[in-house]
Amino acid sequence: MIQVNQVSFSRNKKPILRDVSLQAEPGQCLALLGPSGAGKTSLLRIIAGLETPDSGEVILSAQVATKGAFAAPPEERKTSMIFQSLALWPHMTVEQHIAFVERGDGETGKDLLTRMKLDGKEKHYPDQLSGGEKQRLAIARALASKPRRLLLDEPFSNLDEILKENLLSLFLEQVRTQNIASIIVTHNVNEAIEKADSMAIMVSGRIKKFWINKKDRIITRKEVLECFEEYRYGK
Amino acid sequence: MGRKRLLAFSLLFSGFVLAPFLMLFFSALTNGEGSLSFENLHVLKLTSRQWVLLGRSVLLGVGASLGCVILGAPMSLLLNRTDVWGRSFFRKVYWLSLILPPYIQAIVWSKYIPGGIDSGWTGMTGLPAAFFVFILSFYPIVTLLVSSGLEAMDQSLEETARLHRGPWAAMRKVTLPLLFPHIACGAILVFVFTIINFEVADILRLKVYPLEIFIFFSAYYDEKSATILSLPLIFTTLIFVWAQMRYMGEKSYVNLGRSQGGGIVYSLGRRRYVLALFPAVITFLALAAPILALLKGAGNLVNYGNAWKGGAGAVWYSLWTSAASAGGMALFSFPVAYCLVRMRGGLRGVLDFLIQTPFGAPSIVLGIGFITLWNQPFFDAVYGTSLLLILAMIAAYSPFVIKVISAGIKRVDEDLESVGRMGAGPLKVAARILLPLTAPSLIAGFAVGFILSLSNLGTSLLVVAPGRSTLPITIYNYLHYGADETVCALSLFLLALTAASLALLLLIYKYLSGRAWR
Amino acid sequence: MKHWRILLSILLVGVLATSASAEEVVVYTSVDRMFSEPILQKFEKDTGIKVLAMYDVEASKTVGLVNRLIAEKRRPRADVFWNSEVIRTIQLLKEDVLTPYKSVYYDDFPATFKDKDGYWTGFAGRARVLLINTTMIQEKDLPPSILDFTKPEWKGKVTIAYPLFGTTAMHVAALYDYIGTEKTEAYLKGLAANDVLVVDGNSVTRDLVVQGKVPVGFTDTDDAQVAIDKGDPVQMIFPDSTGMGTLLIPNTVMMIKGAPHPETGQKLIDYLLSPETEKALQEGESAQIPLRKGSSPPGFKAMEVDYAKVADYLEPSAKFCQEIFVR
Repeated sequence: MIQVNQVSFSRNKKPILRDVSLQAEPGQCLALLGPSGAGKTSLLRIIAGLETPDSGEVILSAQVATKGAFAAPPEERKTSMIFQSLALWPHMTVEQHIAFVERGDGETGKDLLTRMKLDGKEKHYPDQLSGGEKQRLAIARALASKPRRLLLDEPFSNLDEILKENLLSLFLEQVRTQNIASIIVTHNVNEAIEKADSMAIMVSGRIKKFWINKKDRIITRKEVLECFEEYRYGK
Repeated sequence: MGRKRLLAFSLLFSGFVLAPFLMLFFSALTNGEGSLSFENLHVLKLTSRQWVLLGRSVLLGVGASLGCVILGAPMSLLLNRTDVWGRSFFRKVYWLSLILPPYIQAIVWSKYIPGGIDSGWTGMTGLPAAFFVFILSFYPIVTLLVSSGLEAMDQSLEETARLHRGPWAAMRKVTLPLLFPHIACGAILVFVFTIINFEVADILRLKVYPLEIFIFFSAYYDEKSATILSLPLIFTTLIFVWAQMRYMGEKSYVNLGRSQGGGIVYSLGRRRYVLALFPAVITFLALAAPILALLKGAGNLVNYGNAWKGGAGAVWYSLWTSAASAGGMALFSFPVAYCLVRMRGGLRGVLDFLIQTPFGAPSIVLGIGFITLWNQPFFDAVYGTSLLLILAMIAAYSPFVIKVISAGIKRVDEDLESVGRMGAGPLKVAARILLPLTAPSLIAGFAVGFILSLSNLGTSLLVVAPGRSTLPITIYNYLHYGADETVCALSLFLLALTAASLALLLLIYKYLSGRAWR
Repeated sequence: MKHWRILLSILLVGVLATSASAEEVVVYTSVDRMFSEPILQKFEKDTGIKVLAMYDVEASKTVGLVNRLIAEKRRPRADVFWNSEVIRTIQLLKEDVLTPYKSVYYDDFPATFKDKDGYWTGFAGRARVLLINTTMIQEKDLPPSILDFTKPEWKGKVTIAYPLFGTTAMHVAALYDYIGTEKTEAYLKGLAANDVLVVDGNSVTRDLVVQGKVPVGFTDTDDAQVAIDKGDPVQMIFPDSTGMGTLLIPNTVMMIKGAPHPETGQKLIDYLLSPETEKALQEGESAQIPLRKGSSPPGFKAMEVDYAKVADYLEPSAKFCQEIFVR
């Protein structure tokens, strides 16, 4: 699981995150919503270990990953992240992408590519893949290291509706079957309500609201939009 | 100016750049009566001695570029990707050694630094000494290009790697392969600059292939054979340049974007102090030691006064002609670069090829070619004036400036121009949209042209106007006279003025690229 | 487009402003700037004729300007060439770059030092000498002839400039003329085998001797004089004083064919050949040897050579030296 406690973070003396706390359970998906510049990406980067916060702590599977000056290196966190740009390595083929992150047995890699419908494309470079294939490769790479956590930074925002639907289902299926704690940053309110198990709304570096979906009750679109209302009028 | 006219101008300009060489090759292929004859081509059947010289030149070029990569690439990684001690200081100063022309580096290390190089039978001589000088002179080219590659790189590529593997694996498997085009480009540039350099080999008594060309010019006055003999050098360079072009494709190797200020920074822990020795030693050898030696050699203030008396004219002359040359390069290179970036099709390829051809030509060939071409009644207003020197510098170094400006134009989305075209003519679009957006690259191109012109010796000696003298020519004059104090003081003037000019350009660059809308 | 035109006209005005001048003379000279500039400045002051001078640089001693003169042959730019030696002068004559001019002082000089048709006139000369570092060896340690430097005891102890350029090329060509091709080539081979240090100029051989890196170096009197005046521990030796003698290298001055300013050019040549100039060069730092008839003879035995014949040997000599020294 992912537990973030009272994290504050600033860059060039500009506060980005203020006293942020949230948690995500294994096998579940937390949707992180908020306007641009709210600090969502920074939060993911802190969880992944790519940034160190000014204060607060990050606990991953009951182990302190970040606290004070201590920050476990990213590669030891068993956490994968899919960037908005997908960050596919232009000089590596599909199978080289998988091989780079894979630990131990090569069996899963092949299996994974089949599941992601990338079999037959092993020798292709990212440039030679279609848009959907690129997304699936990014997911496959993220899963190939058998992560306990998965962070997604608006990865499907540039895709058409049908493709996006398919990929999201594929992703959620993996999260559930492999018991991965995941956070997905999105702008799509309906999608978040429909698919996520919990939801956090972030405005100006603070968590505005945090629901645990279904368990508490079903969140309504109106409630979500209310949180943005304040922001829209410049509060 | 429509695109056709632009292309016509660009082809015309490449004609201007190439004409001196074509003139020489044409006259080399004619016999006494003026009819075509391939008789002179027989000199291309190199003797075994000439093969040895050519081999040594290639070896020198390859060795220097390898050395620059071995020194320059880690330097860039250390300064950009780690928290090595003093990184911001070293980042500010390391490239300054580029303003020390290689021949000054060679003179200083062989003459003014005790126990330096080439000291008779002690210390380094020959090839190792030349490697030493060229590597110290040119490694910042690789460092600069690698740094610009690091800045241009999508940060998430490295970060994704870091989520799964340690720093070394990320560096080896992701960062370095992605930097390879920049490293290769740096290596090629070093190779080109090294293989055509005659002055350093001359000072270090290394027999290289350009010496053979020089002998045909200067011992036998056989311009035809000398011209033909320069072909192997031009071809060798072109092979490397082509290989690099093919590999790089559309990728641009000069990044002029604003730094994202980000990128992974690896913590070195305690090693950050030990590893700081690496940039410290290199910067000391390439920059601090030569300057200290020059300061020591120049002696007391009286010597500076005397040097100023003897060399002030040359200092100002060099400064303004170099500035005018660099201005001309930036001005003329802009439309050519635009054609290279925005146009497709056969003519573009021809243009790209033409513009890179003079890379491997020795400076003396350009000088003689320039005299042959421009000493005509029609050009009387130009020949014998400083304009000839300026034109020669423009012809010699525009190919490099075009590369820099192309990179700037590539970064401007073509749609921005298309949108502009809906409301204004092409000239207005160029002036109001393209020019402001590419201004930093023009400044960078100007700086490159300025540094190269300021230190040119081989060509300027042949085309400088009578009664005038450039600073490098003056320095060589005093060197022969044995006036070491004056040589040192003038070299320091050269360095100080270059540094001051560059600082000014840097300020303008920062202002232009730091404006809010960027 | 308007800005372009303005820019262009500014450029052109600037260019024309610099090229328009009443009386001027264009002189190319391979004589060290430190020695030639004061003399040219005095001419300018005395006559009011503006002197536009092109000085050569050491990296391409004498040959840089000679190349420029040949390349400019079809449309000459220089009026006068003041050469620090004589062989390249003869080369220029062969390349049809010169035109005869017999100065009022032409008859002052012995026939050896001038062209019989007046294409060139030689004056104040230098000599090919040896420079020794007196902290390393003494004059008495030297062999009687430079030809002995091929002996094993001189291995690695002698430095010489590239015998393809400058006065060194002339020196070697003079040996071809004096002792014959076979002996000269054997000598050169012997030098190469004896690890003679070949460097890129006579000032470099001087500096190496001054620095004590080599005990003996071939150089010219003016280069040697610079070190002596500085008080360096060196001594100038006129070699072969009992044998073939020391090679004398006259300055030469000549008119360029088709010179743009022939009148001022003639005035400059007259001035350079005048007794005052020769005296100034004699008393100046370069300590040149006066050559006009009636001057006191040089304090050494001069090698008797025909400069025109020496010039003929230049190319075969260069070809041979290229084969053995440039590899």
